[in-house]
Amino acid sequence: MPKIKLQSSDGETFDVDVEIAKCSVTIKTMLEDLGMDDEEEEVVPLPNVNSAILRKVLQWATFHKDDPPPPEDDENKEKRTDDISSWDADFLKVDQGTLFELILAANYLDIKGLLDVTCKTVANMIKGKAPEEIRKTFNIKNDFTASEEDQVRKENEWCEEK
Amino acid sequence: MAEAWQPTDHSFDIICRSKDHPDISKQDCASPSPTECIIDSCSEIIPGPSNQDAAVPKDLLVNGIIVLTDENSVSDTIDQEASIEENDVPQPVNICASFCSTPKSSLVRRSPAEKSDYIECDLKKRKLDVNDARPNKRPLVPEEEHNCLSPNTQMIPRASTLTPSNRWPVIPTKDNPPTEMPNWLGQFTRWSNAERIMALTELIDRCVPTQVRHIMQVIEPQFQRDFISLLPKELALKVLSFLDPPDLLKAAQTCHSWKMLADDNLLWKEKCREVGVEDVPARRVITRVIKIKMSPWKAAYMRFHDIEMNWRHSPIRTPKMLKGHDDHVITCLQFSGNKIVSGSDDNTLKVWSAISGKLMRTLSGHTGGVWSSQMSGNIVISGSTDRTLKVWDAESGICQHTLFGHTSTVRCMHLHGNKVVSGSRDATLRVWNIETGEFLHVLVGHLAAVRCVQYDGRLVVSGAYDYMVKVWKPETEECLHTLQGHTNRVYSLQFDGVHVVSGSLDTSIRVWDVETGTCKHTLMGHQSLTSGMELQNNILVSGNADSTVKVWDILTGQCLQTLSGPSKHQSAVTCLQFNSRFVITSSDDGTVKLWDLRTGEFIRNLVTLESGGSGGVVWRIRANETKLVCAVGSRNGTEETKLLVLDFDVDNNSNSFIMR
Repeated sequence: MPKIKLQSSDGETFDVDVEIAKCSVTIKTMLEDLGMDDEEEEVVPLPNVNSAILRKVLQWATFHKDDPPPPEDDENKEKRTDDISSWDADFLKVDQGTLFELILAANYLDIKGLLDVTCKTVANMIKGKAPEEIRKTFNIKNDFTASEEDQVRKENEWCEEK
Repeated sequence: MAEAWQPTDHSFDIICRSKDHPDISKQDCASPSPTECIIDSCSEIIPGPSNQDAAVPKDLLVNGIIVLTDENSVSDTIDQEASIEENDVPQPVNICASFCSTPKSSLVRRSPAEKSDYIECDLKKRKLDVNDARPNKRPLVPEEEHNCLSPNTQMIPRASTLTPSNRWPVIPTKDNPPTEMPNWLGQFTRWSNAERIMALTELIDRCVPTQVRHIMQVIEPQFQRDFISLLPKELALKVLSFLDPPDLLKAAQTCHSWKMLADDNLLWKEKCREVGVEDVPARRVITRVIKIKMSPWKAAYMRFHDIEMNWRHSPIRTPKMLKGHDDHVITCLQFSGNKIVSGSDDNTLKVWSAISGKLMRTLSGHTGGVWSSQMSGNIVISGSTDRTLKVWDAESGICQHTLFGHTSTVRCMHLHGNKVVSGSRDATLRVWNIETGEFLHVLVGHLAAVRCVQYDGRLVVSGAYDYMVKVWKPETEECLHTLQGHTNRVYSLQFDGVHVVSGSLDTSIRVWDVETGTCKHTLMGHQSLTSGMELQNNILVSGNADSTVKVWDILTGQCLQTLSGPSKHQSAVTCLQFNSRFVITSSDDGTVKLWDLRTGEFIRNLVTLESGGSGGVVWRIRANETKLVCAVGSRNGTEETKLLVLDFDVDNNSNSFIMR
């Protein structure tokens, strides 16, 4: 299987199967546009991804290499967050800093599956929490004044079943 | 507090004696300890000894390595030294369990039993630390040097809060660090990454659980990320798009930057789209937007939700009563925009305002009972036992066309665009242009009365008392398929352009492929005549004379729900309507019931006629998002014929709407 070299922002080089690297639309487009397909020993620099994160991304891409391509238009699909596979859930048991960088990397590399599952993971960290619990989870400072907070609370009251 | 201190105070005696500070009396030990100050300082309640008591060596308790130390550790050490002399058997260790299960507040003081858990792991090191501790007269280092320190410098009590009268060993502060620390940190900063990592590993290895916990508290926030504030806007919005509205409302209350994103108009437009709210109802929402500056789509969603809650839970407001048609039966009902049109066997139709409840027009002209109608905008079409159809302008009440041709009662019709297809007891169907009043086509082939018809602009589907369902091409007047299978009269039809669904007196419902004419599914389960059906997005809801309502998936042929149970209708279901959330059903038992489409659960009765069971019936219902119109009456005079209009809209005039 043909390989290419990916270079992380901190200079580490990764030998990767072309097919795995191509799950990144960014890399795929780059290879196609530049005709780098059959060039030997070409190094693709990825200045926005450090080696630790690139290693994680490649781990994800390797596991998901045989996944069917994501549907073109799933914008109209209902937004679910309870459909994360157990492998992905385990894979994303990382600190928030790593998860944050994975989102940025998935976005930069244009890997829809990884971007979806990382964003869903963050959404799940928010779900079902009271505002104060959300602040605690993400170390957020409450910058509302008392009167603002009161106003915002009223504005966002959700009438539930009695 | 002081009492709690006393049992272990002998340990301080040992320290004092061993360090030759006879001026520290045992009595002093009853005052808050340095450790307590340190721990308390986390919450910034800092009673404590002075750091200005120069006579006491500051590193007596705090040596250079352990910046934040713990009286217990030291006294434990001494305790243990003593106890080891007495009894050389180390205590069993269960550090984690004992540590984790100890609430923070109780960490200030530990019972002797708890202490023992800590001892074994750090005994040797502790001995060393204490033995190495030396008075040190080195000058203070400049504050900048501490910047390389992790935030744990902040954990040290502020000097200003310390009382000078207390004569206690100095504890480290930002202004008064352990003297060896700058060197120690300096050395650390000179190391390579690998060396630092090794040093940190070794350092953590030397920490007691309290200290490890402290490290964790310092480190943990550094691994937290305020995703929503820090991610690029489109990514933050992507994360938020996975939240349901209640969670979005919670998120909006977190802080300003979250609020801005969680209130995003397009985000809420998407939420609206998911529940089928396709446009912003201008006037009402603007009220709310101006009052509290809410994004229009969010306001639209909130309104949608408020209305749903009104349907589900709020006390039902007194319905408007629209009395008419005397003691006759209301046979058909239309509700479009703000107009209601009721057709009756009293030969008339009546046009009502859904807002005021006033009778606007009586459409007179038929010479027989009206048994079918259609409505589009201001145009009303009626079919009568007088064998004609009439086209009316509901606004003016003028009959624009009378359509002659059928030779018996016009029992059913379906309007599409400017064409209406009528079905008659004469066993034929006729296609008309309602604008010109022109007769276009006749569809001949049924052998008995045509009871139901559907027209999608392309094909006509008809069901008849000859047990047949027929598919017609109106332009050529040819019958494309005769759908055979029912073993009794066909009473109801639904057609979505692909599937034909027919309900029959034979108790079954059949799903047919309109192109091939084959029967895809026979839906079994009802006990009697299926009188009314509605089909939307492959979900079929059928109302039956057996008093139940069923929800089906027509693609699989599965019955998803049966709306029955203890609150079920007591008599035949007469009419039904559903949307993405609710099913509304009416019955000969005089009630209108609201059900949850997805779960099949009974929600509540929307109408309960007092005469229900003794003659009062609900013949027909029509609903839109906020209003329900019911045609009610009786055959025996117990209930006057009338329309009830129920309003579930948000109350636009009350404060509760604006401020909730």
